Amino acid sequence: MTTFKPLVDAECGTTNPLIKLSELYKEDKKLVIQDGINPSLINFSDTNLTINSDTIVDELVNEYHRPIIAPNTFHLESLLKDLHPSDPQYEWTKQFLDSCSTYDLPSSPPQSLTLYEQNYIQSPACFILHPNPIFLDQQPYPIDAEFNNDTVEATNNILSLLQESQFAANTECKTSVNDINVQHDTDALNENKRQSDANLSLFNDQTPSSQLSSGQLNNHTGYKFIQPNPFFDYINPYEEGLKHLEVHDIVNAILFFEAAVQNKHDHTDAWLCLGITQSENGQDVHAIDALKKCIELDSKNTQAYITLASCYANKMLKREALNSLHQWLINHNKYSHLLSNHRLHSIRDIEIIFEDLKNLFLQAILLSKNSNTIDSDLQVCLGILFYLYDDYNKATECFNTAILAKPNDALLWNKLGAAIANSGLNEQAVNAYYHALRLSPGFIRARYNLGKSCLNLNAYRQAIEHFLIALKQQNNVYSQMSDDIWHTLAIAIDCLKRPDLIEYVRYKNLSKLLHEFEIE
Amino acid sequence: MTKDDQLQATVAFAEINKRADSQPGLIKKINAVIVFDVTKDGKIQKSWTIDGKQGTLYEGKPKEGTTAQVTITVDDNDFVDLASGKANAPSLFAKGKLKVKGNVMLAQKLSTLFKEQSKL
Repeated sequence: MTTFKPLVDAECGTTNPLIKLSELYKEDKKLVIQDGINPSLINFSDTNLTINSDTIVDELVNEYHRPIIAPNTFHLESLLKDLHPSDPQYEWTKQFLDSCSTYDLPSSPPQSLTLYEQNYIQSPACFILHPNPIFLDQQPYPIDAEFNNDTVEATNNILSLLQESQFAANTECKTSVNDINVQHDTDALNENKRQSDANLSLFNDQTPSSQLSSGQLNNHTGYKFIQPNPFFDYINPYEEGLKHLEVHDIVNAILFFEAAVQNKHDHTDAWLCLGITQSENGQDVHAIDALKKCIELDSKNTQAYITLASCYANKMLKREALNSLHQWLINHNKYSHLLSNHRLHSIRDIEIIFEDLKNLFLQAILLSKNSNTIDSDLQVCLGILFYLYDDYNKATECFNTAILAKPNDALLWNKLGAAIANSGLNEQAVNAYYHALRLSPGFIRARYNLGKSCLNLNAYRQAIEHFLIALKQQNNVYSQMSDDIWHTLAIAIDCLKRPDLIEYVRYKNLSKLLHEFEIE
Repeated sequence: MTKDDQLQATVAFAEINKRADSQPGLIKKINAVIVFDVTKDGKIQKSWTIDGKQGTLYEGKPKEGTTAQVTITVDDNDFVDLASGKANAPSLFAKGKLKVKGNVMLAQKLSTLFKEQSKL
């Protein structure tokens, strides 16, 4: 025991070393050991955070920074220590960041919307975002010193705003569900519908959680029309709708297509166009409703199935998306024979279904390779399949190949952009979105995606401009603007540190905001 | 004074739940059980469990039979930044504003919940 005397004995004026050590070492009995991580290491108190957690922090930080290659000397913690508000360097960084956030495109005042677009799109090279990767993520830090009640208040405002919109969404959902019950009774059950139900039952999932999500959609068979519709009495609304699509006027095209199907319930093409256009408008729920109607009338409509697959993928409804892809294959005259050799499992395990479908699509691609052509739809199907399972790299490859066959299809460019953006490469995604918008300037979804990528790249002003233009294009006396876009706009405005503008967002005062950001 | 008894995190979680309603597979994508201990003035005020295996998000500690794979302790204000996408987990972690117990790698899955997804 005498050997421990130096450890245990108290020296004058200090705590004895053993007790000091035990203070640092705490045990958390609740912790479960995972992956060989020793809980005692993780529970070191704050002062020891850096010692053993360095590797963890580096790994985490590097994971997030994967698309941006940080230099080996990049140590976040030491940089943070270096940034003090009183440091003369701080002023410089603050100014740099201020100038970066107002880094703009050539801003010649637009005479018309299309002219603005031309200026915008002609110079994607000028679309310069933060060149220095360090600042991409440090932007909050220097302003840290200014974290005060204003910021907190602004955040409060935004959150209460979001809460309001959530409330609105709930009531909307309730009324629409009530409407459906009425419509469901009046829908005639025809042979096609029974047929499609039989097809769908292959994948009918009995597990409660999935039933909840797809069940909600199944009940929602009634398409919710805009009332009143100014074009209701037009002679040939479908043709008018197509004409408006030609000039990239999505919102009015939708109104025309709705009029067309209300006048003629079995207008398959109108339902299809309505579905595709609603998807371009960013309204997947409406798109799905319209496309399901189309399939009821024409169960072999491959274009409807492929659009449904991408809508379901956006909603992360795997089973429904897989089913749609499967239906595409069954009903495609070139490839349906592949299924006769292949007994597709009617198992609940969707992982197996994924493998089967993937193999089938790959076989189909081999077929078309023999004839030296690229079937872009086939590539899109495979791309959606990979996208569903978060393999964005492979999805990007597929969409790229599809574009080779159809370089002027704006929808393809948007899909490419989405796959690239979701894999973290927002700068590259921006290029793809510009292509899409050049081909189709009224493509709301592509513009919204572009804004989101700008937001991810901390280009707040550009993001806000994109959102505002999208909202402006959607703004119509008869139809509503997208709540989602307003929501993201609120976040961007908060990031730009303009709490004075939050009021405009709250009351959806678009004209004031357009004026503020100098958009005509 | 602001509504002190209500954490901003409550609103933020409600928002995430709303997003999950319109994207039914969202929470399942996490595929892990993550618990948030939200603090205010240094004390843990409320906990939330994100059960990626079941696809549910609820207030409180994990239910009977469910174990947290990672527990994240964060202040209310910082959580709001995290949820709105203004700050990310690694940066908060490095600043010491976010404490993690358990499988740290799972914490990076949070970006799925908080980031705005691009749409096909």
